[in-house]
Amino acid sequence: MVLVGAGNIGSHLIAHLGRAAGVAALTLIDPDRYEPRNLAGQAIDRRDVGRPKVTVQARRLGRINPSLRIWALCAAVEDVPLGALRADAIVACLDSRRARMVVNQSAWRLGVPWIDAGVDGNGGLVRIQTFVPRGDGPCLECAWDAHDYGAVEQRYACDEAVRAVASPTGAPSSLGALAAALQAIELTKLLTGDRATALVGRDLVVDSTHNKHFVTRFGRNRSCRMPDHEGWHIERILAPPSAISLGDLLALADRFPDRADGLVLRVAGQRLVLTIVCRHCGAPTRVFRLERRLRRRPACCAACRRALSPSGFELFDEAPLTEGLGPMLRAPLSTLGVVENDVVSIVSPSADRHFQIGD
Amino acid sequence: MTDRIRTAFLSRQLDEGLALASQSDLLDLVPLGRPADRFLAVFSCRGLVRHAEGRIEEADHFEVGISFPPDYLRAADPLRTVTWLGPANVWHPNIAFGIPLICLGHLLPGTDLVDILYQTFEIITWNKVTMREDDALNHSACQWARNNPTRYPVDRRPLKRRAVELPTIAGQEGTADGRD
Repeated sequence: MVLVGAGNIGSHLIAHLGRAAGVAALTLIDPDRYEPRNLAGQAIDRRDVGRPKVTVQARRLGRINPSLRIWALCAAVEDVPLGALRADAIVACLDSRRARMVVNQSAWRLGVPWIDAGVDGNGGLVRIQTFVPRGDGPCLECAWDAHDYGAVEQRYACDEAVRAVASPTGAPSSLGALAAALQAIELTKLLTGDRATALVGRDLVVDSTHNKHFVTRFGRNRSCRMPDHEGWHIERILAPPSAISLGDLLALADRFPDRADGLVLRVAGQRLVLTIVCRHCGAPTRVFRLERRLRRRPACCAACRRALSPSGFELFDEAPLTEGLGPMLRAPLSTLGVVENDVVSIVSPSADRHFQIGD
Repeated sequence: MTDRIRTAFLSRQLDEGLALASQSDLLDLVPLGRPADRFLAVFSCRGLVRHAEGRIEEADHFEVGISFPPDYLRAADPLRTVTWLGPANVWHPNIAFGIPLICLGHLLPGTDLVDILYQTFEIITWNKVTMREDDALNHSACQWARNNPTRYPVDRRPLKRRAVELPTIAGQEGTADGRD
């Protein structure tokens, strides 16, 4: 099981997950720390303020169910390797459209069912949806229109240091607890195979202010902007990134019939930097690294030795895999910046092959 | 596997972008990639630069990189979509001094290339200026703008040439592209 978000809804859901039958292992994902203002709405106490949310909830889970295997990832779901979301189900308790999009696309690529919940403190509303990646099922974005996409959080150049965050929902603890309870019930249905009553392809909205509830059906949108409805067939390479090279992956791709037309390399959710032009001396330096790796360990200009920082125009979502890469082909994937559970793809004009790296 | 929606979007951006460039004296557009998902836009309109000694004067060569990553129709990333490529000493509140950042504000997913080019042109020519430091990338330029309101707009020419109706002479008709 994967729980994304340990805020208002997530913190209340923890207790249900710890007691649920069929949950043997749980991964918690949230990048934030608890703040004093969270005391009013989230299932925490004063000693939790200032601590990472996932650490607090992991300890709480351990007290409820000591036999649970728990992994706590203090990171935004956008930064988590795709393979880390592989589970029997994903439960999302998010306040961000962008994070929901990431969960949605990841779930469809992996073929993992997921349950989304949201609350609106102003209207006293709770919303629950369940998505099961299958032939003709709808995804989250199938029901989205231009307004929804326009509301996705952005980072702006004038406050680049700020992560794209959503505004607080302003929802009281009771609403979060109601959403958590409904999610726990949906999860039980999924785990027991009760798809008939699960909210698959349906949206449940509870209006707690006016004592009403609404169920809306929605279907697959043939013009949905999310491109991965077919899902990915992902092969496991049970070796760490330090033991696999690009050349090894290229050898695996020997079976591509149209290999001569060019193969490209992608790492799910990550961006590649091939060359950086130095802002100081103007010299180009060949880099060939994931942006994530360069953030931790900046490259140096080949001419003036100053630290390099890639601009937006120097970020790519894929890189051509050619024999001309030379030494870079023999270097381990960890040198590129690939980490455990990353999904590395080799793509030809007619076929994609996906490999989850790590043991 | 092919994303048909994105492929159609990119094809339209290429056609419309090149059409605009062909109708402009102030813009050259170089498509990059196959299909073209990145563009190098070279503007030859008038803008401002600041020299090391503090002198601010007009310049007429500016370069911007525009990228449309695979998820552009779903989530726009202003930091990645538009990159300031040069000159580094450009002078404008919405363009960082010395680093490749330009702020066009909120960018709706799927915003067309032509719209981005027009917004960038309006910034370079000082037809669009932010006066608030908390909204600006170059606070000094923001302050300069408030103190020098007569220095801008720097270039009032339109990005696209206007067609001009010529007066007809008996037996003849005439239209031509107007040039400033």
